[in-house]
Amino acid sequence: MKNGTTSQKGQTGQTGKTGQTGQTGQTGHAGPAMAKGRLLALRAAAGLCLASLGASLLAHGPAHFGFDGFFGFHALVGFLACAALVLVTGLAGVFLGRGEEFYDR
Amino acid sequence: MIASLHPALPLFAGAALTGFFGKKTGGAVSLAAALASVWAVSALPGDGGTSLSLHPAGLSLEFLRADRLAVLFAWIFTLSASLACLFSFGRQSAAERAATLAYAGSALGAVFAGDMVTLYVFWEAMALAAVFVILAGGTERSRAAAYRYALVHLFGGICLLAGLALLAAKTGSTAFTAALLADGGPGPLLVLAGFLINASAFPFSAWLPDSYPESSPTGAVFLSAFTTKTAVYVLIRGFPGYGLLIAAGCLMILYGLVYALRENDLRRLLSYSITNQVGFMLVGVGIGTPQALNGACVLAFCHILYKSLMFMSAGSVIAATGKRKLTELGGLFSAMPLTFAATVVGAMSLSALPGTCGFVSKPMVIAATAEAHMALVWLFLEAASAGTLLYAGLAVPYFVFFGQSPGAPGASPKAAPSREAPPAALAGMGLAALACLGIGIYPWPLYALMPYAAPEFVPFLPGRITAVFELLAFAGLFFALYVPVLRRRPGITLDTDWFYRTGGRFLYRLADAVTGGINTAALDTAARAVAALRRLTARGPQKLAALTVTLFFPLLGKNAHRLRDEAVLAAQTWTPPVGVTLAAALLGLCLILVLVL
Repeated sequence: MKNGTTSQKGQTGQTGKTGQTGQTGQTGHAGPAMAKGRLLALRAAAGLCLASLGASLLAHGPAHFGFDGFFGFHALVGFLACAALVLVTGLAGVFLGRGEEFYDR
Repeated sequence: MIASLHPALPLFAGAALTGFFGKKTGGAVSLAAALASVWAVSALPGDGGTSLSLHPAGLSLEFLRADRLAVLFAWIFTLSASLACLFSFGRQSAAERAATLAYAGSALGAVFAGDMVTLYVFWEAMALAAVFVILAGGTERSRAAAYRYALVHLFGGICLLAGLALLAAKTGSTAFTAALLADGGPGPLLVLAGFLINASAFPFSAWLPDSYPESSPTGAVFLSAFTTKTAVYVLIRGFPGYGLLIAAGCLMILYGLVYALRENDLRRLLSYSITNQVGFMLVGVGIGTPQALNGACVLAFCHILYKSLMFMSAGSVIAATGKRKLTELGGLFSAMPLTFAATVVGAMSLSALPGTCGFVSKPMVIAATAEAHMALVWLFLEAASAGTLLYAGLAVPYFVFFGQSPGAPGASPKAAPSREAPPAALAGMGLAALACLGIGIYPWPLYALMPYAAPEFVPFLPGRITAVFELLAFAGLFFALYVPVLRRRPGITLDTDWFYRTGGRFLYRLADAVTGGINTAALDTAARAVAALRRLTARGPQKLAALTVTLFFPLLGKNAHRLRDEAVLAAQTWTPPVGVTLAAALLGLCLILVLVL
C-alpha cells in the first residue's frame, strides 16, 4: 500500500515536471526550456525505475510460471512491450495511415 | 410493490418529462430521475427473489430478474447515470436529456431482462436511444455517424433476433440462461454475434470510435458507459467460459492499443481505449472461472467509473477550447487545473496504478489467467497493461495539459482559454474521481457485491504492488525517453469502417451507374422510336402509294411512271386526283357490301 501511494505521487509529479516544457515553451524560448524539462522528466522516470527495482528486491511479485520469477522481469516486460507496441503501431501507420480528409472527399 | 419498483422506470419517466422543462430545471429533473433509479436499485432485495413478469400471447416476459449479477451492473449503471447527469447539468438540450435518460433506462431494462424477448426489446431501444444521443451532437458529422451507428446496430439486432427465433424454435423456450445458449447450433452463434457487435469486438469495432466522438461533450459521457458494458453483462450471463471470447478479447486489446496509440482525436483515443478495456473483460468471461467472472464484473464496474471520468474531462476540455485534436490541444494546465487533476485520476485508474480502482479490478482478470495456467495470455495482458500507460495514462494528461505541439494552431498564449469547467461539471468529475480513489483504497464494499462465490482476492499483496509499480515505472521511462516519437500527428488511421464507408459509397455509385444507365438507355430507345414513328408517318403513305402503283406496272403500260408520281404526290399532299378518290370510295363501298352480306 505504501508503495502504491508513492508511485502515484511519482507518476503525477513526473507528468508535472515534463509539463513545464510546454508551459515555458509558450513564452518563446522553447528550445533550452524544453530540453531542461525533458531532462527533469527523464531523471524523474529513471529515479522511479530505480525505486521500483529496489522495492521489488524487498517484496518480489508472485511467480506463476517458470519464466516470470527472475529479478526485473516486470521491468523488462514493461519496457519491451512499449517498444514492440510502438513498432507495431508504426507499421500499422505505414499501411493504414491516411490524410485527415480521407472520408470527406 | 414499492420494494420491487423497476429501476428503469424512474429513468423512462424522467425521459418523458425532462423535455418539457428548460435547461436548468430539465437538468434537475434528469438528475432526480437518475437518483431515484439509484434508490430503486438500493431497495431491491438482491437475492434474486424479485420478479416482475407478464404473460402475453403465450410468451413469458420477465422484466425484473434482480439477481446479484444484474444488481451489480444496475448499481454502476444508475450511479454513472447520476454522475453523468450531474456533470451535464444545465448544458444539455431537451432532446439530448430525454435521449440520454431513455438510453440509460433501456440499458437497465436489458440488464434486468429475464428472457430473450424482453432483452431484445430493450436492446433495440438502447440502440435507438443512442442514435438520438449521437444526433444531439447537432453537426453534419454527427448525423452521418448516427446513421452508420444505426446501420451497424440494426444489423446486430437482426442477428440477435434471428438467433433467439432459431433458439425458441428449437428449444421452445425464450429464457435467457447460459444452459440454453450452451446448446450449440446456429441460434446461439447468432445471439453471440449480436452480443459481440455491441461489445465492439474486432472486426465489428469501428462503430464505437466512429460515433461516440461525434456526440456532444455531455452525450459522450453517457455513451461511454452503457452499450459495451451491457454487452459484457449479457456475455457473462449467456456465454461464461466460452473459449472463443479469450481470443476475441486479446484481439480487441491489441486493436485498441495500436489504434489508440496512433489516434489524434482525444475522444476517439478514449473510444479505442474502451474497446481495449472491454477486451480484458472478454478474456475474463472466456476463462469462465468464478474468479475470472467476478474480475470481469468488477473491471466493468470500475471501467465505467474511470472511463466516464475521462470522457467528462475530455468533454470539458473540448467544450472550453472547441478543439478535439491532441495536436491542437496542450498547455491547458494553468487554465484548467481541476480538470487536469480529474484527468490524472482517470488516466491512472485506467493504467491500474496502485491506489486507484483500476488496480483492484484489472489484476483480478490477470490473476485468473495465471490460475488457469494460460501463460501466453497472462504475459499478453501484463504487456498490454504497460501499453495502457503509454497510449493514455501519460499521453492524455501530458498532450492535453502540457506538451504543446510546436507550431500548433493554438500555440499562442492568447488562444489558451482561462476558464475551468462549470461548477456542476467539476462536481461530477470530482465525485467520479473520489469514487475511483475510494474504491482503489477500500474496495471491499465493491467486492461484497461480486456475484460469484470464489476464493477471496487479495489486491494489496506487496509482491503484486511492486510488480505493477515496476511495470508502470519502466513504461513511464519509455514514454519519457520517446515522447517525440509518441507525439500524435495529424491524419487518420483506416479502420474496419472503411469497408462500409467506402463500400457504401461504391454501392451508391454502382446503383447510380446501373439505374442511370437504364434510364439513359430507355430515353435513347424512346427517342429513336419516336423518330422512327415520325419517319413512318411522314414518308410511309408515299412509299405505300408508290409500291401499290409499282405492283400494277405491267398493266399500266406507258402511263405507269406518270401514275406513280401522281400517286406519290397525292399521298404527300393528301390531294388525290379524282380517279383515285373514286377508286377508294368504290373500294370502301365494296368492303361495306362484303361486310353486310
